[in-house]
Formats: sequence, C-alpha cells, structure tokens
Amino acid sequence: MKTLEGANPVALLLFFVYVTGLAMFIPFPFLIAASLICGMGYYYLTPGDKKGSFTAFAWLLFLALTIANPIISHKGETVLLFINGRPITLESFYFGLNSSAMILSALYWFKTLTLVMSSDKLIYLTSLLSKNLSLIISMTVRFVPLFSRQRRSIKQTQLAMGRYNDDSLTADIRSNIRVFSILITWALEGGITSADSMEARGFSLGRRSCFRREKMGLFDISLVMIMSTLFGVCVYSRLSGGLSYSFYPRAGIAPLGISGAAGVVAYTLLAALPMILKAEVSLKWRLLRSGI
Amino acid sequence: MLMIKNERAAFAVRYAVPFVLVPAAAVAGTLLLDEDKHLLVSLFAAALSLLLFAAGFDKRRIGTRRMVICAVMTALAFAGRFIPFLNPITAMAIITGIYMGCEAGFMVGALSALLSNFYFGQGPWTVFQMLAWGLIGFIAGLLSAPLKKSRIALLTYGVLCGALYSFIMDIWTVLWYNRGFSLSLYGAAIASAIPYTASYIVSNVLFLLLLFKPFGVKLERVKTKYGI
Repeated sequence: MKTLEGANPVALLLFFVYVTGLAMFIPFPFLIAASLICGMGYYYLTPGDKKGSFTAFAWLLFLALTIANPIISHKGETVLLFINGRPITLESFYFGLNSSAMILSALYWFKTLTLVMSSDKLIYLTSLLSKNLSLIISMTVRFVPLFSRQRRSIKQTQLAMGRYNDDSLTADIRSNIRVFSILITWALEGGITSADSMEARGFSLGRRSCFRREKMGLFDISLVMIMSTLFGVCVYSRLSGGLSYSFYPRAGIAPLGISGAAGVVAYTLLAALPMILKAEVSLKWRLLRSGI
Repeated sequence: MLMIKNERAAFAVRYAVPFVLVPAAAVAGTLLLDEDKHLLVSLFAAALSLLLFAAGFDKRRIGTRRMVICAVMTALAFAGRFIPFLNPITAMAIITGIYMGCEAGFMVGALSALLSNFYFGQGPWTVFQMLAWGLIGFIAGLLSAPLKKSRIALLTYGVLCGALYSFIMDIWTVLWYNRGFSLSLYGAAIASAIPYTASYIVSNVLFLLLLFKPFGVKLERVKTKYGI
C-alpha cells in the first residue's frame, strides 16, 4: 500500500473533494467535529510549511467567526444576556460555533491540499482536461521563479547604474515600475523566442500527447472505490434525514439514528483515511527494519 | 463532442454554455430549491462553467506564441500578487483581455487566481475567484475597442470591477458561513470588507494607470513584430 500522497492525483483530488464537500454541505455537529479532528491530524502529520503562523491565524479567525454570529443573529429561545436591548442567545452561539468549526476544518483541509498537491500533480490533473491548459500551467510555474530571479538582477543593475538610489517613497515606486517594465519586455521577448523554438521542434504538428508518470493502478482504483462508497453512505444518510440537525429554536441533544450513526462512522473513516494509510506505511517500514 | 461547422455559431455555443446557460441554471436552482442548497448550487455552477471552458479550450487551435504570452502574463500577474496590500491580477486580466482577446483574458484571470492561491490560501472560494477574475478579463476583451479608446472608460471599468469583485465574493462569504443568504450578514460582510474593497479599487486604478500604456505599447509591438 501507499500513502494517499503517493497515490494517483485523481484519487488525491477526489479525497479532498469528498471530504470538504461533505463537511461544507452537511452541518451536522458530530460530522464537523470528525472533519476538524481528522483535518488537523492530517495537516500536522504532513511535512513542510511553517505550522505555527497558520495555526494562529486559523484559530483567531475561528474565534472571531464564533463571536460574530450571536451578535448578528438573534434567533433561538435560550437568552443568555441582552446587549443594547438585543438578545444574545445560546442557540445562535452554538450555530456560530458549528459554522466556524466547519470553516476552520475546511481551512485545515485546503491548507493540507496546498501542501500535498505539488505542481506535477496539478499539471497531471489539468492534462486530463486540456493539454494546452496543462502546458500553460507548467510554463507559468516555471516562469514565476525565473521572473523573480530576473527582477532581482534587473534591480541590482539599475541600482548599480545609480538610478533612483534614494529612500523616498515616490523614487522607490518609480524605480520598481521601471524594473517591472524592463522585466515585461524581457519576458515577452523571451516568451516569443521559446514559442519559436517550440515551433521549430515541431510543437504544433500532429496530435498533442502528454507525458504521464502516474498510472491508474489497482491500488488507486480500489482507493477510489472505497472513498466513493463511504461518500455514498454519507450522502444516503443525509438524504434519508439521518444527518439533519436544527439549532433553532432550541438546540438539544437528539438521539443518533442508525442512518445517522452510519453516516458519521463513514465520514470519520473517510476523513481518517490518509492517516490510516500513513500509519500502515510507517508500520510496514518499522517491520521491515526490525527484520534486518 | 458535437461538431458545429459554422464558425460564429460554434463561438456562440462555446461561450453561451459556460457563461449564460450555467449561470441561468444556477439562478433557477436558487429560486426553486430551498435555502440550504444555495451553496451547493452556486459552487457546482461555478465549477461546471470553468470545466466547460477548459474542455472547450483544447478544441480550438491557438497559436503557440499566443499560448506562451498567456503563460508570461499569468506569471507576471502571479508574481505581482506578492506586492503587499495591492493586487494586480484584475489589471493584468483586463490588459490581456483588451490586447490579446477574450479567451486570453479569461485564461490569465482564472489561472493566476488558481496558481497564486497555492501561496495565498486555497479554498472553496478559489472557484469563485477564478470565475470572477476570468470573467473580468473576458468582458474586457469584449469591450476592447471602447476601453482602448478612452482612458475614463478604462478606469471606470477598473473601479467597477474592483467593487463588483468584492461584492460578489462577499455573497460567497455569507453563503458559506450562513448556508442561506441573509441581508444583515451580507451588510456586515460588506462593511468588514471595506478595506479590501478599497484596496481592490485603488490597485485596479493604480495598476491600470501605470501599466496600461506600457503594456499596450509592448504587446502591440510584439504583435506587429512577430504577427500574432
């Protein structure tokens, strides 16, 4: 078995679509809680990125959004206190808590997506849709670091020539514009040159094909099928009413029916899938090492 | 895929489906279904029109040079987004739309949103950002003759785009948070987004003022020099 990141990008994208889609469209408290816990687990287990600043930003946003709802919405029966003659209700607070937990979990999932969806995976996915599009994306991804390097060297040249070399704001802006203008000319001319050399190598002749490293293997297909089954269980549970919950007019604890329980379990399994695969892979690694 | 012989009819179908039919379906879905389906319908419609556009993009032969220039403009817009407080993507999409045509404007807007969000935070809003910026570039391409002629029209378009972009994204914020549309929350969202709206408007006007002419000269030059 492989980890989810090692699987085919289609399976990876499908996982994120399923897991965030369900969390966004089924505002069921247990499901949101599962989404948040698994999303955080997956994010903190994924290497790369400075985790601290994102964590601070996400939780501050969470706090702000949680407080915002009871101030704006006054529905609900249990009044906690009055501010300016308007009631602040417990139900409204719960609703805000649920919504902002959903948003927080989505932030975690999408942050993990940006970590694991590297540019080669993105290019693979777009090439399934349109080969021209994937070529443009791959060129853009290559141009960005190239341009920023070139911008630095243009800037250094300009400074060495003694242009706008003082600290006032207008001079700074003007010098940046000048550098940008030089960069544009350079980039457009360079682009035309590379287009011409592509043409000279027979780019626009014949059918376009696309190099794909990833193949859809047995593992990927079974992964997609497992995820789709779990997704189907959740959707069925939602449609049959098992995963519906209303905060207004009164938020109480409702018993979880069989359909609801199945939905929550299926969602938790789905959301924990990358962590399960990671655990399996690292366990296998340990076993292999212990055998030496 | 259906082959349509008439060039004009094919053009109309290619753009009418993603940009007219799908939004119409979205509005109908919004009116017919109950409140908590709004988010689903809007997200689905936006994603569908982007997918249809991308699928249609491959069917047409676009020149290699035009494609590379698209990539260059996208990369410049992407790199420009690292400028603090200001956001040049709208201006870049408008300029590309005016000088290189509707399709290129759409590509630059949508792709720079998609790619730069890998640095600035990917989320469900990416779909809406892609569509909004893409459409800004696309409409600029349609209006290219009047926008090229008058600077006032261009700046007005820039201001309108900045404000509308912000208002449209706020609809999405409210839908996401509240699941249904609520006017008071929408007001709160607009009020809290005033600094952003102002920054969009200022950066659109600023970048259009600063970049429109030099970019125009450079793109026209490349066009006449190499015949794109």
